[in-house]
Amino acid sequence: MSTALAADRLGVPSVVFFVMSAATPLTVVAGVITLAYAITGRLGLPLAFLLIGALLALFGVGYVAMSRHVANAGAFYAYVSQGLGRPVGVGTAWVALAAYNLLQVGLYGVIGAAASPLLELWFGFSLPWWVIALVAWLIVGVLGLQQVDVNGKVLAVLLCAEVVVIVVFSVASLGNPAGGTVSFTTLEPGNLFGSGVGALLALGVLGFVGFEAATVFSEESKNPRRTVPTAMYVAIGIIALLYALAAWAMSVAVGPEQIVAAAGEQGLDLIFNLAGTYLGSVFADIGYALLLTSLLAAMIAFHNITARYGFSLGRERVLPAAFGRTSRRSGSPKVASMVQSMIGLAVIVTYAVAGWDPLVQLFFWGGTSGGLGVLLLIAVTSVAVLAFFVRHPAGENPWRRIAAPTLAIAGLAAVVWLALAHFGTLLGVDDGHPLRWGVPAGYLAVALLGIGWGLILKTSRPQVYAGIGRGAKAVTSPLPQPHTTTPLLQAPTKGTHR
Amino acid sequence: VLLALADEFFFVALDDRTGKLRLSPKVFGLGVAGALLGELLLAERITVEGDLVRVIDRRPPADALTHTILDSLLAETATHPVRTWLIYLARAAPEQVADRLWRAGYIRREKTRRLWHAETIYPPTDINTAYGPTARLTHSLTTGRRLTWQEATLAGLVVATGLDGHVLFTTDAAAREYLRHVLDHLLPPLHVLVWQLHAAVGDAVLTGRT
Repeated sequence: MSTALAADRLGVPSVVFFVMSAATPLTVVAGVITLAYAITGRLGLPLAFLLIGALLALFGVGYVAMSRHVANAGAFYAYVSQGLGRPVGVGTAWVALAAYNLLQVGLYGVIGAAASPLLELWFGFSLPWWVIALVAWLIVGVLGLQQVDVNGKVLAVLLCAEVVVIVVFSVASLGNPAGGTVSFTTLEPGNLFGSGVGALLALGVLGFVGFEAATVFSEESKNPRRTVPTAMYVAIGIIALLYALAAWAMSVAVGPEQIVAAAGEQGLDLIFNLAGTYLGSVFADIGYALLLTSLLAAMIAFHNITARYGFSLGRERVLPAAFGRTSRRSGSPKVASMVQSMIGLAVIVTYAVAGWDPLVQLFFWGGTSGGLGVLLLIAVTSVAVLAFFVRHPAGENPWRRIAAPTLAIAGLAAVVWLALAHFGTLLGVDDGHPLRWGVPAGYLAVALLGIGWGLILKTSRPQVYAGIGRGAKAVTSPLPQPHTTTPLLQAPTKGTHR
Repeated sequence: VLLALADEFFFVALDDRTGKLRLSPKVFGLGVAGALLGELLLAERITVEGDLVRVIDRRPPADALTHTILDSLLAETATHPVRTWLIYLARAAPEQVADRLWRAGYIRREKTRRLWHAETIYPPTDINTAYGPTARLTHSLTTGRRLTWQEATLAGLVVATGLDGHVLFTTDAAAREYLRHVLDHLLPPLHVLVWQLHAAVGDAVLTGRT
């Protein structure tokens, strides 16, 4: 492509920012890391982030290579549709919808705890968690429909601020080690590969959710073969190092022997209490404020991911065509967005009425269950990548199409196995708890229902079936027209895809 | 009044009372870019083979803007897919077409400031001219009148950008049936153009960059 045509396309930094917008580091550091220490009671978390980062980079080799052959390149199920067949693709899509919804609604459980210290500070009173959650829900719902350009400069600035705050907090923690010496205990492999390793690895995956979106930008990037993989590896590298540093530094400042107890007592406040002690309360307040924006950004990011899954399935007509409808004025996936909002509202109301604990039972359970779902998605996709390249070997070298995918499958299979084996530890419940097998069984059921629906489509609506996994480029184009059943626009009959 | 395809699309996408666009900037840009390619297709200067845009007649068109677009197509040594041209042309197309309409005296241009961002609005100088394309399209589709190629292409652009709800009531099943018939019988290059535009709009939603 000539320079004139390529001008103004996305370069590596822009794609990194888009990808990391769903990462929202402070949410992970203040929320996931502290609760992970508290609930799993294990010390190996920093190493888990590094290990998962390396594994995802390995997975990324084949994933990016295959993305050049995938029409709907930002969604796992599109890869699975092409690699393992369309019915499995639909099953994957439904698991994705469940997992991303869990991640999104889980965040409503933590926003109350995050906002309370600021409300106390500024107004001298606090509110029930669900009032704060409903305010956040309203903001997410409105911004989701408006498709306001939050993923632009504002988000980039907030993201940079979060990274700076985490690095400053971590350096301060390392400068004030408990007992006077910097301990490397939490980086020792022995603390990762003990009992509960599966729980730590699954939590590690949670920090990287959203990295897969890099490939969605290939059509708009300067050089899809270079820009997209580079941006993805950069994003994975930044995330892995940042979270490993933060989790390690936290254990150094508190002391590896005390970190589990301290995380249990102080929860979300742990990192800010440390910052307050070593840097002064102003820094802690800045941190709280950024945590709030970080959480909102994460909610919006997951809301948008879920809505776009719904939109793309709506355009394929795997879900009702209405899901493929956009708002004219803002170009947001209107119906899919509203459906996600309704799910969020139902969950907040249910938890508020039932009086369930928002932090553990909503945020941590939702987050870890969603994280398990994303781990399953990545693992299935890794198999799909290999299956695809076995059948279509042209144009890629053996490392990209065979070696890297095979290694990634082995690594991811081990992680999935361990995560399922230690899922009780991950949730912080004993093995008799209904959720211990309920969540994995739920994913299995959702996947089987999806596969069943895919098979029904195969016989009853072959044209829809042919478009599975093609997203906006699906052969059957569902247009906004509630009163007719056949699409207004048919693909050109001589098209390359059927 | 005889308007070019991109002018007609511009007016269908324009709220003639407020001068604001009915579409998000990204979708509007893609739509206008599609309309400009449509003008060259209707003028038989270019064609679409598979999904590649190919110049078949290098003679400069009379209109300055289509001339410019044809020049940028000719400046490329390789052929590119419709999608690549849509994304490329979408950047400048809205201003270029607004400029053409402004020179012809059909619209004014006003900069407004709302809270934090500046917006350009395009109040039409004559409501009848501005509403004309929408009115003709609605009328043709509801009465089943035979459409010209330009009208049929406009119908395709309108559907691909999601403006069909503005042109037709969703309840009018007969008109929708006729619209589908029109789209099914577009000339193959025009059909590919409309189809690629529809996919590009959907992908813009998926990248969250509408």
